[in-house]
Amino acid sequence: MQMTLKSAETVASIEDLLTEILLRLPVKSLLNFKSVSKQWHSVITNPNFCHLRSCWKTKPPAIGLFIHSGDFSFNESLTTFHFLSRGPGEWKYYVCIPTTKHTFRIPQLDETIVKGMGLAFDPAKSPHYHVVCVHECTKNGDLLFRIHIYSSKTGSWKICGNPFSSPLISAPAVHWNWTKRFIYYFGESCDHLHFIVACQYEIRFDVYEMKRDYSEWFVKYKVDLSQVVAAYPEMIRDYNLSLLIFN
Amino acid sequence: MAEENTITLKSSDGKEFLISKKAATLSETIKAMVEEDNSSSVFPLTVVDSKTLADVITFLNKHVDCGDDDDKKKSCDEEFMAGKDDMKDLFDLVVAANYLDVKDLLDLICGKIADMMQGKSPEWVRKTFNIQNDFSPEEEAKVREEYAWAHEGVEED
Repeated sequence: MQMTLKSAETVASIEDLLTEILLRLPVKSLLNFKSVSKQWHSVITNPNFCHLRSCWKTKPPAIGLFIHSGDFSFNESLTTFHFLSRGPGEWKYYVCIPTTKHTFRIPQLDETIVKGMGLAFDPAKSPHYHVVCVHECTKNGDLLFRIHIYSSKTGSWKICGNPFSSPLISAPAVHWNWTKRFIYYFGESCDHLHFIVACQYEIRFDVYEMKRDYSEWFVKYKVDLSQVVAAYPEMIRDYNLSLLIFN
Repeated sequence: MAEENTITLKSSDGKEFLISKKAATLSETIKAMVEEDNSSSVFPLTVVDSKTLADVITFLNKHVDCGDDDDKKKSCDEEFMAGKDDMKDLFDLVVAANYLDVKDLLDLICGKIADMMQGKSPEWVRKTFNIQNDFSPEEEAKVREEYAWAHEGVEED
């Protein structure tokens, strides 16, 4: 038996109070409640609400890493939910927004040997996203690396900085010794820059975090999934697994 | 001397509650009232009924006793929330906490209400909050279609 309560009506009529309650709901409930009414739709899709929700204090910190087949880069926010995904064995990268079923193919770069690809997107700061691509290039016979950045705002790729040589990859104020280990994730999570380096395929890896003052990377977590793999061997059937970090 | 440290809060249905100034002024609204009118000792709260006010006062007294001890506050809050599953009581409390501007209580009750809303259908929300669905059937279908996956596993009414 369900009845309408006068105080519930009062709550719904005070938008600030309603917002306080809605901020505490998981994303799935919020998406579900968009169809309650036009007012609720407008509260939930309001950019200010999205911003508050993405900075929400009880939002759990990065709670885990999952292994997923395919090459995924993952970024979640309230209303937009972007993937960067690579088609099998080819230079085709897509940004997908599953919530709106929007799929966009990133224009191909001339460079074919892509060493790393990442999505930079924070809806709290901008509705536009960037795709960062690290690729190999050769100059006078030397093997070099170069970064290109694609902007969804301009719809084009731009070269970022000069080619640099391996094994040193430079980031602002940091030099990272790029040895034979693979970088599986580079991105922002919970307002920190993270970086994942796998030691043995993806079963053991270290999660690095950038210090607040950008002075250095430190090992935030040392992860060993061997026991998980032992329990679920099917997850390792394809070495081309990639890591998925999520909030 | 004792009177100087206590005030009386009067509920919408005319009941009076004695409370220490220290506890009462955890409410920003009461704090402002007391600061504005130092000579009064009775403060009418016309939008809070006696049942709800009694609950709010229990909360305020508990929090004054806890001081700045967050662990103590947490266990006090758990004790306070035990058995509070009635939607009417929760909505009354959240409206009062909002009006009286008691942040800790507002946090607590908003969290509880949000927990109770999880997994519910839009229809349940409309009924509970007495909201008119002002989407046309086509518009509603479109909004639901966009987020079809979010509707999976939602409780039936």
